[in-house]
Amino acid sequence: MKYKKREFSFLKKSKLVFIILIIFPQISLATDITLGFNLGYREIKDPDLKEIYGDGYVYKPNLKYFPHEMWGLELSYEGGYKKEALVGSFQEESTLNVSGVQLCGVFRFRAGFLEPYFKFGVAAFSYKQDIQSQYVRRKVDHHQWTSVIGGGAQFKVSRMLFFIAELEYIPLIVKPFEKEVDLGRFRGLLGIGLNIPLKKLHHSE
Amino acid sequence: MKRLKLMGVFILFCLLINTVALPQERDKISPQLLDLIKENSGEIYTAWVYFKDKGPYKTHRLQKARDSLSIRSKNRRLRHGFKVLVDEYDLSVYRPYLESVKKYATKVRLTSRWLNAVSLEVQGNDVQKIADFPFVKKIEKVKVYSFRKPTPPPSVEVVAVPPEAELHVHDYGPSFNQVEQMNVPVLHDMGYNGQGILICMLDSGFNNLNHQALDHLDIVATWDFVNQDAFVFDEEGQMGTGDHGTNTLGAIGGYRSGELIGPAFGASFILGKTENTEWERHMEEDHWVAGAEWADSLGADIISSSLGYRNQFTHGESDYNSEDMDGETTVVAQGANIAASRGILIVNSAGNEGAAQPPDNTIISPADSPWVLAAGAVDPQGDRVDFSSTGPTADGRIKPDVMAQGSSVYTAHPEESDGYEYTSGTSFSCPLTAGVAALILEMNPTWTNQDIMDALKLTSKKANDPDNRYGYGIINAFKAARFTLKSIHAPDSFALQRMENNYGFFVQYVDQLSWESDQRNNGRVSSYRIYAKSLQGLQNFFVLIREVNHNVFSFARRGLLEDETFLYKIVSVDKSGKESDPTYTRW
Repeated sequence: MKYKKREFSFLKKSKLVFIILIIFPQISLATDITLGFNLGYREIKDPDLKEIYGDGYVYKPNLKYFPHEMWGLELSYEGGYKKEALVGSFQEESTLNVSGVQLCGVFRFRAGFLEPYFKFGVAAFSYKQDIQSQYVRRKVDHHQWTSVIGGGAQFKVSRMLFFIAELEYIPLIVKPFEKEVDLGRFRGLLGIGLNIPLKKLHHSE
Repeated sequence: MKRLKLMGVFILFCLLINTVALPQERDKISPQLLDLIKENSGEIYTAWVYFKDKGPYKTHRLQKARDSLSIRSKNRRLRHGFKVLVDEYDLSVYRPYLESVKKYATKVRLTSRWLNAVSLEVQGNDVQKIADFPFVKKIEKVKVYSFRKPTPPPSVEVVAVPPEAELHVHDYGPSFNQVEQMNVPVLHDMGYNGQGILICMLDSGFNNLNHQALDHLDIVATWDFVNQDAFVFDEEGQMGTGDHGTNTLGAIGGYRSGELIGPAFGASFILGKTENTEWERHMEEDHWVAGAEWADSLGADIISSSLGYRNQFTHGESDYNSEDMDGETTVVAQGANIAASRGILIVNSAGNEGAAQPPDNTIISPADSPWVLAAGAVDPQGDRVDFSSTGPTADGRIKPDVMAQGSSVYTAHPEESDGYEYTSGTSFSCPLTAGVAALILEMNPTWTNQDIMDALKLTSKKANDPDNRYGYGIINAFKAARFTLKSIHAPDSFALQRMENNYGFFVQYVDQLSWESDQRNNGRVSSYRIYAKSLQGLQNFFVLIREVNHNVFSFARRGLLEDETFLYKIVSVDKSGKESDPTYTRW
């Protein structure tokens, strides 16, 4: 009897990471969780696609969980890059949509109201190009794993509220067909966040 | 007991079937060759050994044959509507068969992929051993033919150049009459001279190629089939002389202002020495077929063969008779028919037998083939010359097909580099006609060999009243070139430009096709149909990709594989839905 190989899809992976993050605080020495929402601008490295669609704005809700004073995990979603443009010699209408989820390790330094941090991790991006033409037989609807490196700082404005500034570098080299293109590069993000302390480690405070 | 009886009957039945159905191996040997062997079995004979098939692995070998086909040859076949570019005729003789037969041969002369046969020299005793091979179909003696020289014409006066000659671009000198009679100068004035057309001359050899009227010629290849080397001029110790070939080449392609201008002086040539003149113009039929195969592989458009063979044999050789002149019996006719099926236009001398007593005054082979244009001879005044062979063929077809000057033809001298001479024979009607065919093809590059033959015949002087002395009469180059084969003409200037269409993640190609209307259609076009055929793989065919209005002259086609190669064809369509001849272009 043959067993069909089960696909460990992108969605399933994302769900798994989410469940781990929900369950993990129950069994660990959690310090705090932050919820943030960043807005920013991302670049497209490939010159052809950059010329067609250009760079664009992104939004990025994120959840950071710190089991330790100095390090934690961040789960975030990047969306908002959906561009319309005329493409090819025949200037056909098209859209490009790039979005993805990230899971990063975060290392932070507490220095009063300022908390600089850096992070690295993995991301899974989906990229989709729709071309409104009866002549184009190849539709692009793929996804790709990649790495993430970034850093930034949180500025505390109250015990729970903070602003955030962040810079990320995410290469996204894909080769859906014969041609290899890089959809990634830098993102500059600004955001606002909420810090939720879960457990006090030092009773003297 | 009953069973035994039944078995006995069955065995007897099998034996009977075997005896009746399976030919005796001796039946494979032609009676003529058998008789010779009976007389002297120790003698060496030249024989054709025909094979039953071309052996296994045909698909793979067809692919190889296709890859080795010259571009010119491919294009010619496509022009002639070959759905698949190659077929079994293009497969070489199966090597293991050859190797088996070679063991008994004293010399292998030539192999013919068209006839699926090998011509070899073999001792009479060994012929039976070759016949015993199950893959051998038949064995026949290679025939030797003769070509009669015409009776020398009376002393020739230099034909005066009429005043109209001065109105033309070129100064034809003494050769004016022979081209003017065919209405060639007007096409030369329009700029047509055979450029881009490859003509194969099959003749007895070509001396003096540095003659002042020949040294401009684009000679693409040469081969001496008699002596098996690349030198087609006379060589000491070798057989055959090259006077005849120099004369015919001068007539078709010579160019020396004020002296000699042939109709196709701008064409390219391949020269094959296939005739051995050692015995009063004798040749063996295998050389001619090998020459035609060679012409096909190099992509020749036209074969001009001023050779013809039937009787008058020396050395006690047997011959064909007038009943064999049916276009199918002689090996050269069979070879010519296969060459014509590949799209080559074959022009052949009608023969110089006309003055003989009937039935010996008839056409010679391969001019007897329905697919070969037989050229008879007229004098400078346009009257038939006595020696020009007459029709009909053994099966009653009109021959010769057309006429051209074959008496007092001015041409290059075979020995003097600046000398010229007058010469006679249907040998010279042939290259003059072939030269006109080249002009017609240059002007109408989509025409098939049959189209050119039809155009030449139907515009000749006696097109309305053809007979067996003049055929369709003296050809008219200008009329034939402008002849409307179909009610509607193909579009002009069908061109293709391939561009990239970049979508970022992938790149398409865009084949931008453009064409022009043929002005001769005068508004009769209702639409254009564009067809495409992938040139990848053997099983390819044309698919209609678009039909556009008569006022649209471009079309863009998109695809995904950059290295994909297509052949496109376009046709004009008239109001009744009839298509014109196609025009082709390829990426």
